[in-house]
Amino acid sequence: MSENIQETIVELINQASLYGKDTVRVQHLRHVQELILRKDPSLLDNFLEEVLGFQSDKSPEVRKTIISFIEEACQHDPEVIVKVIDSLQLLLYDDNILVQKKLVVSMITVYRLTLKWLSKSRLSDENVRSMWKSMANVKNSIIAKLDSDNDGLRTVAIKFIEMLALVLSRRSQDSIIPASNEQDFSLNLLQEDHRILCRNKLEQEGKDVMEKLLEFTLSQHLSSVNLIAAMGAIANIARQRPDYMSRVVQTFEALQVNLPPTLVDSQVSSVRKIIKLKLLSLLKHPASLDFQPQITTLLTDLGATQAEVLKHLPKGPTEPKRKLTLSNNEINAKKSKLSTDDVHMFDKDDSNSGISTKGISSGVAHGPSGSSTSMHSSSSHPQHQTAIDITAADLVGKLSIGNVVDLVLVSMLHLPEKMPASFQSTYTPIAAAGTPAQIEHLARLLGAQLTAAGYGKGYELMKSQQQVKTSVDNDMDDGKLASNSTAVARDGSYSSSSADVESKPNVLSAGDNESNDMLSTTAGITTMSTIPGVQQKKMKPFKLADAIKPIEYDEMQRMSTDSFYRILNSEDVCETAGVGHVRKKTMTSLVCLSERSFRDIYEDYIFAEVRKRYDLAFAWLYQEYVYANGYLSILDPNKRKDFTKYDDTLCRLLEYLQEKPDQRDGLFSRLLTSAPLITDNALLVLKRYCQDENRCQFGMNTLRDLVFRRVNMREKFLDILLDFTHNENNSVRTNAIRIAKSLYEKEDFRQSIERHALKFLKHLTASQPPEALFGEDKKASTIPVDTWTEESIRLCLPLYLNLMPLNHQLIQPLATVYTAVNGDIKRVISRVLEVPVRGMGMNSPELLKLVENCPKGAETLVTRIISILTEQTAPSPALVEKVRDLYQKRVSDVRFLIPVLTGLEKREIISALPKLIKQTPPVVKEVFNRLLGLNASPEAPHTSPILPFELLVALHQISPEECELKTVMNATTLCFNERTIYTHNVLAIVIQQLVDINPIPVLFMRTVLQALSFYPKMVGFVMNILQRLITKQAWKQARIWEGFIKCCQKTRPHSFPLLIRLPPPQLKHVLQTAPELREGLIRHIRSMSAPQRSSIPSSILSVIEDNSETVSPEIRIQTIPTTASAPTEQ
Amino acid sequence: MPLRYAVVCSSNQNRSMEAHNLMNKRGLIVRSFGSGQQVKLPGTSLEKPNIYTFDTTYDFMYKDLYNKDANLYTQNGVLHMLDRNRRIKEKPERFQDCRERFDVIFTVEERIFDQVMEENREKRTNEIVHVINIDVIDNPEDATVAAFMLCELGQKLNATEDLDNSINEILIEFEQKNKQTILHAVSFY
Repeated sequence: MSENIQETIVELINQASLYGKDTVRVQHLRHVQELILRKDPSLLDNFLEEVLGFQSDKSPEVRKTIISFIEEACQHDPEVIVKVIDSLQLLLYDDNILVQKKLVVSMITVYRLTLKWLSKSRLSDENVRSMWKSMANVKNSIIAKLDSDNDGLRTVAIKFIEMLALVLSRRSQDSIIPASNEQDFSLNLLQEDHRILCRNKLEQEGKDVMEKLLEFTLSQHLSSVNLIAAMGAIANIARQRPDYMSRVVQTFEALQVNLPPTLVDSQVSSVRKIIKLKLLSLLKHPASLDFQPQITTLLTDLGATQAEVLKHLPKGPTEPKRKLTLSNNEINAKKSKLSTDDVHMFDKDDSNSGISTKGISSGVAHGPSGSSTSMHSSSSHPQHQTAIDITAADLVGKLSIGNVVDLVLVSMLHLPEKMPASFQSTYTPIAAAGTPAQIEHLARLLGAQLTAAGYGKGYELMKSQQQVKTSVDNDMDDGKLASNSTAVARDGSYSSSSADVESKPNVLSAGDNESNDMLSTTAGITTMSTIPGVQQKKMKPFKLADAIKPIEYDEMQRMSTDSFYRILNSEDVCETAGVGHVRKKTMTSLVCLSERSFRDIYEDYIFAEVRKRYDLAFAWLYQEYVYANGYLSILDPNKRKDFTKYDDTLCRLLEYLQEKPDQRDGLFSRLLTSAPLITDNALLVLKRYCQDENRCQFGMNTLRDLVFRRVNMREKFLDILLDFTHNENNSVRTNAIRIAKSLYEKEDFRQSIERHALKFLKHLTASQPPEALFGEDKKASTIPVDTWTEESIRLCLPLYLNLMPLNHQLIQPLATVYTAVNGDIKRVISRVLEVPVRGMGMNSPELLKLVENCPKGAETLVTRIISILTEQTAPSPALVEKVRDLYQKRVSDVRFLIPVLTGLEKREIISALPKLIKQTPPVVKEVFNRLLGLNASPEAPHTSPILPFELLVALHQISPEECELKTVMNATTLCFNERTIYTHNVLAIVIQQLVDINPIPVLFMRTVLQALSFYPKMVGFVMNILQRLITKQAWKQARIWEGFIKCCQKTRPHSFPLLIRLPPPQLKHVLQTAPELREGLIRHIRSMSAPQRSSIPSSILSVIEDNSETVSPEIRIQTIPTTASAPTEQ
Repeated sequence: MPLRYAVVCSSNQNRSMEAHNLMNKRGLIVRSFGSGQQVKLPGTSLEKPNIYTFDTTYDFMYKDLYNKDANLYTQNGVLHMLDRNRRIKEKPERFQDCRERFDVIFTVEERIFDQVMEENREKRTNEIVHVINIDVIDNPEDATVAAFMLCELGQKLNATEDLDNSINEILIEFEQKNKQTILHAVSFY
């Protein structure tokens, strides 16, 4: 069996030393621990070394396990301590806080066991001595950990000290020892003559650490956990070592009015709760009997009910009850006697009175005023404490109302301006004010302070006694005095009687008796309430609920509303009295806190004369904001931020101001710009305002102001504004664009505005209009949603177009978008371009650049731009240059040239003419308009590079190869129709020039005929031209000849002399073609005089008279029917 | 080492079990207890609660109440709760009878906090245990809300290296966040 276990242990230790999960290794070690210590303790010796080897393991968990191993090993066999003490010492300085903590916890047991074992052991070899020395080191290190930075470490150190205080003291008869502690060591078990342990020294040490612990409990920097642990410790000690009861109760007394200022509210309540629990547990203890008045007073202050207190009084429930009732009924004068009797009675009746120490009975006997302890109390009670008791006992009788009032008045002078926060947090109304117990409590507090300051009966007495005492005792007392005085000094700075402490020395110097009288009244306030407190007992308790009856709800409503109206109506009175601001503040606060009713009234009031009272509205809004933010947290500290009321108020105010017929005061705008917060709903109101046709101007101005002033919401406002630039309503749109343009000039907004404009421009490339175009209310829109209409197309553009003159670069993206959109949109864009392009002007480098780099597909756009630019003014040379360049290099569309025609050279125009006249009639018309300057404005005189006559001549010179004759004919017709330009003079020049050209242009005769039909008086001129044609042998050109004949027909009889001059064959041809001429010609000849007739060659005459058909075949072939009919068309 | 939690309410039915359930699901080591003398469940009226001893199984209570008035106890949610409870453990446990050690004990009423603090353990290991009270009204809704709070708190405490040293800060933060006043004290085993 043993073999097996041994093997298992070896195996486990091996596994634990391998690398692996810490938890697994810990498990192995635990297993080892169990096997060794529970199954076969004889193995401990064998394996102790091995297990201790793990003390330097890298895992803190493993090290902790070793500590519990050691602890259990020591429990099993205390002698092991000698072997493990080094390990313990080592582990105390471990890097890991958790390991240190574990060690301290284990040391509580180990130290106690060590002491117990040593006390019984007769061993005194070097090992044991050195172990004990090491143990003392460890102990001191642990005590020093009270000052550690680590909260948990301090807590366990407290626990360690508790153990020290217990083991290094004696049990007494009335010690209440918990069953589990029954076997614990105490100094009673130690022999006087132990070789290693010196009982007196240990006892002294126990007192020292207890003092240290009490002092620690009262220190200012304590955390709540430490404080609770320390309170638990001292209460435990008091129960097990009743000798300390007085000191412990005293410490609780000091503590209660003197909690560390660092505690937060809930910690204060936790701590107070624990004080209460601990005091109740002490109250149960028979040894606390003497301190019952103090403890009960403390408990009442802590909020314990009388029932609770009674429940915890030790045994015989009737006795304490009677005692309490009695003490409550005590009256000042008889107080001391009564309470003395009272305690005596209690002593007699109490079946457990045997437990009470002699100290108690003697204390009662000697205390002249019934105070619980006296100077003769048990010897283990520290002497110093007795001084307080004596002084307190002395004071109790002197705390009469008169004295207390005087003392309060004197101390008033020293009260601080404000109540210290720490006082406020720990102060509780004194519940049992005026009861003898409370007066005693007060007297004790005063006694403590007086003693600390070195005054009072008790102090004097002690001083004289001390002089007799040994030096050792003196040292000890001094130490305690010091510690106590620190506590009291702190007490002074925090307790309600703080001012009194300072005042005391001055008062005291006046004289002993007098000062004592004065001092004894320190209780002040509390004693004042003594009398009602006493009377209260005799009367039926006053209940507020009995004396009043609730007001009806309606009545309450009416009263509050009435009072509110009164405040409203007191405007003038308040103003004259100079308290207008108070009234304003009151009203706004009321309105903010009230429900609906006040708000409606207030609104009506403000809006009745809004110009005078708008500041009230503003103040109200701010108040709502403050309230919503929870800045008024006193009202409701748990309130979450809730802006619904603020929002509601803001919107209602805005809506009202919006409805106002007269908007010129700008209140709407002012409210928005000065409101502390703009809510989403307020934005909606603003949007509605902006979209109101009549108010949009104000609305947009407001938006602009908001953009400038509310920097944090700037983007939002800007977006709203920009959205309005696409609004369907023209007025809204125009106003929005106006503001947007003005903002655009500021560098800050430039980019966002541009981005927005561009975004909408790009929407055009989408298949249907963007959502954004319709705003929130889609249905209200009259624009179809799913297809582009001219309207929706136009809405996308206005902002952009308006920005273009401000930033010419924008023309480029427009051109890009233009290339991507469909024909409908292209047309709309072209149409709306006029204004922005005019605004940019012909000299804009960006425009020229666009013309130069015309993107593919944007030709029509560029054409349109150029034509807009040149519509009213002559093209600039630069523009002409760019267009010409484009025309020649990239786009050979002649239409490009049209807008800049007037900027071109004559030669260029003439060469382009054939192409130009091939365009559609409107375009051709436009060409001629430009060339002839028909649209030129009166301001800019038209200067065309080509004169009208030159143009017409050029037209005639266009060869049929270049252009169809019909087209040219149409073009010339256009010219003829401009009769203001093509006057007969101009036409004459044209004809004159044309006739000189060889060969004569085909349309020449048509032109002549046209001229003749417009200007019949030109007939003489025409005759000259016909004459010239004869000399030029016009019959050789069939068309001309044909026209010639026609002309002759039309111009008869003027043409007859001309005809006669024709050569006979030609004349014959003429007569054949136009037989009607013959008769006229014959008449003409007959009318001539004889000499004239004789001059006519006979060949001619014979032709005229010869009626036979002899047509020159040559001529007939050349006749073309179409041309023949041409002149008749006109 | 993960922390060991206990949640204590008066009857180990609603508040502690709700927290037990949730904390368990979230992977915390938790046990739940009642601190009362008996297990009390709502009855037909305020004056007539159903009373069981602590060693009655949840299953028994379920069947018992089901037979008494299935409709009423379904309406007021008691059956639902018992059903939930019997899936978690067999029967309610009384805190005072438990000898197990915990690192943190949650209580849901000041009275229970007092009971826990007064509970004389005397196991003499001197290990620290933190006792934390958060007031929770004894109804299903508040119990659920509180369970989440306790669970969150438990997870936070679990995440610390050195519980004793960090618990104060965590609790103060927790108080501020949840606007809950808590009592906190230490006790020793």
